[in-house]
Amino acid sequence: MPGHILVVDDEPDMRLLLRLTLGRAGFEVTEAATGEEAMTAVEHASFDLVLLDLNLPGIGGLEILDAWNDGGVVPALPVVVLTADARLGLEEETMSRGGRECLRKPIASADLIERIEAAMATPAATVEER
Amino acid sequence: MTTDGTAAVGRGHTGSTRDVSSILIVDDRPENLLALEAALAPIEQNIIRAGSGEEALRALLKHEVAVIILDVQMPGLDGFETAAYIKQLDRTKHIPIIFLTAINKEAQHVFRGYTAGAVDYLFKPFDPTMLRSKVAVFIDLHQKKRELQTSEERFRRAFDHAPIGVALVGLQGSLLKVNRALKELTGFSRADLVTKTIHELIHSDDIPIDLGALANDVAGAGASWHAEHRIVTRDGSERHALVSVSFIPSAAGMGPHFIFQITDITERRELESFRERFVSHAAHELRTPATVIAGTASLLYENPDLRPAEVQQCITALYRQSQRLTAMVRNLLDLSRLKEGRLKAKLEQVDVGRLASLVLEHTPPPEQKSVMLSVEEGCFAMVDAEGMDHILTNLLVNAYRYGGDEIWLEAERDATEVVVAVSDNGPGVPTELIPKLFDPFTRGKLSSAVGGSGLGLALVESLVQASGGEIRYDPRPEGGSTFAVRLAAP
Repeated sequence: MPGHILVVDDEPDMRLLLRLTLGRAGFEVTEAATGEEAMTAVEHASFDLVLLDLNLPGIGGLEILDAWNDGGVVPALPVVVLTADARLGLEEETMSRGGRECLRKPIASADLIERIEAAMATPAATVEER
Repeated sequence: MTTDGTAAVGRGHTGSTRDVSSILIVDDRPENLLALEAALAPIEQNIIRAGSGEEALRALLKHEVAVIILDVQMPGLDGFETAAYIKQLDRTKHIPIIFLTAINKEAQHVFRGYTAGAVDYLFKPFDPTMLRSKVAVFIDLHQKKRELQTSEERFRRAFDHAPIGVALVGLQGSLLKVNRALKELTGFSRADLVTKTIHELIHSDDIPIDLGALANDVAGAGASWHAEHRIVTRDGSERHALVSVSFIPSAAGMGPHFIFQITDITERRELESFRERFVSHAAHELRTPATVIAGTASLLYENPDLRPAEVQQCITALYRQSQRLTAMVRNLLDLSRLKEGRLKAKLEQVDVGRLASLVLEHTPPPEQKSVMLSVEEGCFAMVDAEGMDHILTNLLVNAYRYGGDEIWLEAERDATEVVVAVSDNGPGVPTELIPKLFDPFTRGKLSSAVGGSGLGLALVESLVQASGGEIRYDPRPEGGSTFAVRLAAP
């Protein structure tokens, strides 16, 4: 099951936590600190899933999703949003842009891994039908 | 002074609460003036004497008079001519006149020409009791009028000086009468306001006030109606107001009308919206360190086999995030207290140089950055000492996070003020951030990476203002940024 995950978060300590947690679960992890880095990374490497923070300096998470949606990157590439933003309606914002799921910080590592595996196991076709 | 029955004529209640009125007596013969004065003495009012018609007119310019006793036969201006002048002036035409005259037909004819009530007459030789009772009636009338004026004046002042906007509004919405607070609230002059309708004062996007329905709703005594509306002001800005309306079916001299009370609640609304943003911002900001701390702690707990380098990274992350959490909680509390006015600055003489050294001790620059401290000897400022510590700490931390590798902390004083400046040789504040630099919740692009909370500068500004100072940001001419705090010198 494990695969290659791109972790996008501007907080270095958060990236460390995700890298270690996901690493121990067997995933290969690549990090991006900004939206620009994330877009470049997706152009140059192949990932099985992107874990995306929304509140990023520069290009925000939802803008990245928009760009990937327009470019046909999603929903083929599963994108799971992981945000500290408590606003209502972010689930819809995520789905309408071709994202798979919106998770809120804080989240237990076991739950996170379970959601990631579920998103990776769902083929894009079933996502598009929704 | 005696307080016998005669003196009390016409003074129905306690004389002490009433002002003394003035009686003007006019006669060309000093002995007649004396006789009049003696006759009037029991009334206990102020008596002004005039020896001629001309003198009487001059006296009326200076004094407010309740009644005039006027001899008819006088050299120069006689009594009737004098009275004619008195009746021509707005200021004096309402003063009642009692003529003193010998009985003759011509005089009786003249008296009929005057408006009844304002004029009376007595034939010489006069009966002192009769004179006193006539004068007492006029004095009483005068004092009642004065009381009415006072109470009207009191009402007018209460209306005009009420701390909330008040308008009397006609059934079609025209502003009949407005008070000072409404002028201040809207920025319009009284002359502008009375040409407007209440509908023009309410923001056009708000639900318009239906005066017809309102007249029915609030017709009952004591009934009122309340709603929040945005008020349009002269400069085009909006104020939030609580509008309360009651209805007056008809009052003396006025047809049915509404009373609008308009309370400016803009600041309260701003505080409410600040609180809402504050809570959501605080929840958001605290969530990140909480997530990292909880996640990293359980990672360490559940995985005893982590490599030593990873353990060290985790400990560093735990340390950094718990520091950040602590600073954030302190800033959040301070800012919320300051915003609600609960944190009062205690102004005292603070040695800026000593305080700056202390701050540098507890908040030293990170590796590869250095602070040059340059404070004039004896540089004292009037500021809250704890507040000043937070101000310097936040400005330095700001420079450590966003600034260059060289940081300057400088202070200078002149006769009236002290300027404390923190500068650095970094990239400076991005132009688009400058207008909102001191707003709470504004963060630089790199702020997450460097642990910014978006509250530091807002807190600094609030603290500086609480001490009566001001803060400004300027780009440093050589590149970088300068934050300058101006405080009063002791």
